[in-house]
Amino acid sequence: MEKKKDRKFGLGKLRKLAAVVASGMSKIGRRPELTGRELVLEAFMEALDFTRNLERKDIGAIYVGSQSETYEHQIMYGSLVADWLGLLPSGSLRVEGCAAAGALAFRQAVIDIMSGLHDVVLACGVEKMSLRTTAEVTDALMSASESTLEQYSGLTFPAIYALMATSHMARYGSTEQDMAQIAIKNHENALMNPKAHIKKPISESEVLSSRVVASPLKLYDCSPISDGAAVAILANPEIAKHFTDSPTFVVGMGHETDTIGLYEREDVAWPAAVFGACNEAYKMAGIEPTEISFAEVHDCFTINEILAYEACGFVERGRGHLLARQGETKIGGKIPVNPSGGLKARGHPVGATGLCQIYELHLQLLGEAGGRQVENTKFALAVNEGGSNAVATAHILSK
Amino acid sequence: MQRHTSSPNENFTIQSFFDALRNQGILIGALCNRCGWKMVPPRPACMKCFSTELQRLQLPKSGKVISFSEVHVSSDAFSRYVPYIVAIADFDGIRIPGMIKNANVKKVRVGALVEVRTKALSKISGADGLSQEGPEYWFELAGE
Repeated sequence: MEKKKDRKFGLGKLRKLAAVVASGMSKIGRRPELTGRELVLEAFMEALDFTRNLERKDIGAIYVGSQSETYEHQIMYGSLVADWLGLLPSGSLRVEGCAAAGALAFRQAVIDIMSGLHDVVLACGVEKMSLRTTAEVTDALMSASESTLEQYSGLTFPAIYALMATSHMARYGSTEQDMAQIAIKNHENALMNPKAHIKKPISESEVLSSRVVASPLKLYDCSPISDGAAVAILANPEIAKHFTDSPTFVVGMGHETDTIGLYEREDVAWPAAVFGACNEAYKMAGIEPTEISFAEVHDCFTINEILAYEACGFVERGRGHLLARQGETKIGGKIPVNPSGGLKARGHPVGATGLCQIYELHLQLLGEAGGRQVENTKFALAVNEGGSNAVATAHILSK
Repeated sequence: MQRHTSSPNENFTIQSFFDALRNQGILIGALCNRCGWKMVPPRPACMKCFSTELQRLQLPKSGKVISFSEVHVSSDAFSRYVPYIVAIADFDGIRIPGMIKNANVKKVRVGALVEVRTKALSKISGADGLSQEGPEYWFELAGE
């Protein structure tokens, strides 16, 4: 049966689902001086600076993406943020979906605007991870995999993505050098991002000789453990100009789910939920993958950026590594990917990542991305994933 | 009208999987009588067609490595095992994850034949409330 959402949209006519009137992002990295709620506040204050006529009481609802309560021993992140940002008594909700939590909070805000329930909604994402040891973070992230077989067989998250990598390499001939290109590119891009966690160029030999985390993935194939937050203020497109001269618009979005266990999948190296979410978003926006000017994708591990190239439709299935090898995803290339530095170098405060991506899309579309600015942007794609790509979202923004 | 409630069939629960592993040393699953889908561990309803018309199946003894990795950094619960090898293996169309024990990673390949072993692994305390219920099974390379 054809899905209802496919029939409703895809008419080839651009529809503005919601406006992003402002966005903000904290500095990403080790932030021992601030708690999670204060990181959100830092991001929120930046967003407020770029609006006019916006009173905090205009914000009808608050969605907060956060991965795990183990880092700060804190659930109720909706109330915590609403309280700390002075937004009481508007309704709030914590959104969970591992690393997709941020984009899922954003999606929920779009849905509120589309439904007419609220005219202005705040989407936030946050994670304060650096208080914990690497072993503790590894354990907290492991809880996003299937518990009875995967967790108990010792499948860490790096191991899960390593299983994808080993399979891709065996079947398609991708190499550790190909994956290294992703790390090198994203580190390079982050050099021009003043808020990035890692500002250090790396060479291929440094990547290849870094210590093994889960073979074939090495330290420089993995995103860092970061603290950070990001926010977006969304509004009904019809009133967006009241708050800013330069809104951006959500013109397509998608959201799909895959099995909780990687082992249940027909092809462990194919992120089917990403493919589905992107297709849904393309259809809704009425555009083709070739019309995307640049993308922010979920490079939690270098292999996953390669898989995303394929699932986003930038290249055929099984050929993602060739796009990396040819350098086509650098800024100035055919399809720039992760100009922010991505999860790999901008940093990966897990629950915040989806909104860090939206922040980059917003900045780039407005031409405010400084040294990492992509030229002639029209449509921008953000792909956020949770678990072993067990949930995925895609958002397409345009001016 | 009387509302009818039925609990998931206890022959196809996660608990039944661990009971069979502990008591009989076998890995069981469910075969859907309606659509033929196979699931390990079993599920009370088919993941494809949601039928509850199921029969038990037993995982074949030997399988083939689909993918593998050697883990060098892990959580506290598994740190004592590093480096250890994990894999997803295919047993006649049924895929499960597991450790590959007693093997040199250089000898492990995609496509390598493995056998399931079931014996009480050391008690792994860890990630959640099922801490004493960890799967006491693993893989070994066939012929090793």
